[in-house]
Amino acid sequence: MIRKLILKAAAGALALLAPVQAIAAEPAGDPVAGRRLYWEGVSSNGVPIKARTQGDIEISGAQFSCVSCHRPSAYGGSEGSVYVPPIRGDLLYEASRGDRNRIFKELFLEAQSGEFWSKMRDPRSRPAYTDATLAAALITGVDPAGRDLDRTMPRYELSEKDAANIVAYLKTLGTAPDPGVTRGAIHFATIVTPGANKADTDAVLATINAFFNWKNLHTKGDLSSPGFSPLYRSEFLNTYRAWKLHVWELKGEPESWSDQLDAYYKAQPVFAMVSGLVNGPHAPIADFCDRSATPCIFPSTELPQTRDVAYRYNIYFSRGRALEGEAMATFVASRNKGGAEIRQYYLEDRLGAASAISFKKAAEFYGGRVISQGFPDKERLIAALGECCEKNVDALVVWPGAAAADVVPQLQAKNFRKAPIIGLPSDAIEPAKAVGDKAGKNFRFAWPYEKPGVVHPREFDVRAWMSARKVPVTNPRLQFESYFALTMIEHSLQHLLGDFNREYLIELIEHEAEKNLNVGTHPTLALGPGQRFASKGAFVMRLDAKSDRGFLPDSEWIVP
Amino acid sequence: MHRRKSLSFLCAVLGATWGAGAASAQDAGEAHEHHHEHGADAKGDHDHPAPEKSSDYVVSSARYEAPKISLIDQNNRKVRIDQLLSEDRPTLVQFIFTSCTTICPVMGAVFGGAQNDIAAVAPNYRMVSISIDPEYDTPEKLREFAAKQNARPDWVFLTGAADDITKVTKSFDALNQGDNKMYHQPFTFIRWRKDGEWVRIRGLLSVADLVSEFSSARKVETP
Repeated sequence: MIRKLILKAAAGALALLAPVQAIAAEPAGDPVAGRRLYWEGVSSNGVPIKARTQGDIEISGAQFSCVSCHRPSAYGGSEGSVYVPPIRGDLLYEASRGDRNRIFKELFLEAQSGEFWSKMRDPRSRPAYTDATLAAALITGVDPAGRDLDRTMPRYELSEKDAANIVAYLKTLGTAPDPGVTRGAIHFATIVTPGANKADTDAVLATINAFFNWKNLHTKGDLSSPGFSPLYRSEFLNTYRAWKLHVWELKGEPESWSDQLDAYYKAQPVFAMVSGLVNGPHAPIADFCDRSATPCIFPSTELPQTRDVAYRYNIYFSRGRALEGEAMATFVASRNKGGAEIRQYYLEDRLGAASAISFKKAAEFYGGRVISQGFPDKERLIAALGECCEKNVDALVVWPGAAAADVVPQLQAKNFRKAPIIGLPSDAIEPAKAVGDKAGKNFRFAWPYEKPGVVHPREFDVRAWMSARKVPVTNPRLQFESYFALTMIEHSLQHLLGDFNREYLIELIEHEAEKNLNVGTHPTLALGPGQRFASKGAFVMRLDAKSDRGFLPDSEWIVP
Repeated sequence: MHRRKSLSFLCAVLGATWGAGAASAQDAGEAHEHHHEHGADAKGDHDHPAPEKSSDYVVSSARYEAPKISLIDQNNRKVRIDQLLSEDRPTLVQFIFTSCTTICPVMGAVFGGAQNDIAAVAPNYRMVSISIDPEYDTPEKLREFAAKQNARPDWVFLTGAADDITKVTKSFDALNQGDNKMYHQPFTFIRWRKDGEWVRIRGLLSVADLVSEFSSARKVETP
């Protein structure tokens, strides 16, 4: 019945605009139900809304919910020559005069086809929406100027109640800046955790500080000569902000970090957290970021939050130690068709357990038989390894956790050489070099980074940049990770152009990550909508004293 | 460093400003190209309002040779892409990725919604959707994507090593600008006969558009 009514109304509205006024949204829409409709495409009774796109494709709101194109921010975007306009309430309820600055990135910063180029220059001014015309547009696809919306925009079979709900939700979305942004400044925090290597921490902070200084110097330069305007800059002077860095140093056990972060945030809200060196689990930090809706952009951590991260606030380089475990399992399986006989020994700390759990699960998935033993301290692990292993073991896998430096040299015992593969984590490479190529010829290391000897073009730029700013490069991987994280923030803010919205920042990072900004820490860094791990695979390495860095790949890039 | 960046930014701005000329030049280079406006009379289904006027999509034709490499299908089986694409049956190809939000769901839904009509035109058809985000799009993710479209067995979903996928997109002259999948274009390719020319369509289609282009592909000359 409702459907018939809507179709009738829709047909009428297409023929003549007057009936549009007849579809009046109920005044009291429920924004919570509207949000659910926005995200899940379901009616207030939980049933997916029906819709139609491209003129004749019957679709379900469950697949084509508002969020999928207009994104969590409701600022929209553009993809594959389809421009998706912002639909935040503040913008819908004001007359649109075709603000070039608002579509600046689509006009100038996007790769474009000819059709898209001309489409973006179509007139797009319209009167302000009202509740009634907004509801009508969702159903009939006609805007208050009487113009058809893009035919990719689905025409939804909304009941009056659902229309009122989605309208109520959109009206809750304003355009005021998110926390951490003032008229003159934008605040960022970076994290340092206890137990992080002092030299590495200093190197990372020196990189971040140099970047902030450089950025602010250029902002100052542009603001001091506003009349000089190549590159349209003067049109965006009001979007410039001084970057303020806050180093949030965490103390004590990880269980207390979340509370410490709340206190830091309360004293000084930040727009986003960027980079940082996390020794220990990232989960407490990730919880804070999700709870406070603060984007947490590319921290250097081996223990990221791996569950329920899609579409949330933490963006990582990779799945860290869990990825190492899976990559090793894939490698072992590739060398043992028909299932391998595997012994796994691990230290029951966070690092050891993360790899051990993911290794066992993946190895068994591939048909391997895994006998796994965890040990509460390194002494017992070393003792057990001394008695390992029976004959005919295809692989011995050791995850020494934080004790690689103590455990790995013990792997010289003769009996280990019988296992054709001795699987180890990435940080076992350095201590293993002391064992030597001969004794360690069966050692294999999971390596979720770029392989040695590959230089990405951007590395030259960044090294020169660091050298010019007298920042010594003492830990290239960590410092380049920081630089990449900062570049992501910089490029995305350039695209935000004053729409200081955190979800929008994340969407732009998803969009920008795959550009050629990778400094070479990982073979590729790429995200997509909702994706939270930019690098998805790992190599498996073996020792080779003759090579530059003492190890070489023994596998292709493995994506478990 | 900053100077270099400013210059590249300037180039981007100037490039965009002059882009119209460049784009038409590029379009002119495509053989047999013609713009289509479909939709207004697309389907005589009286239960539904008439589909809105379609935006343009661009059709051209060309020969493509798929590389001799293996990809992985949604059921984790190896598939030689050159062999798959040289089967003597009408074949439709598209490039998608499963986390894509705006155009791929539409592209998937067009193939999904057209299956009946395509089968009516040519029961021995083959549909192929190739992921351009292979490291994220595992066979499992492809299966989920296929299920959303009620894909039939004649529709194959492929992923593989990133380099191999690049070889395939390159062979179809469909590389993403800046090697960034977020800049991908909606391409559909149709070939009627073994060794025939491919119809190349750039732009989003309706079901009626796809079926119409599919039916017309029969007429494309074979050597």
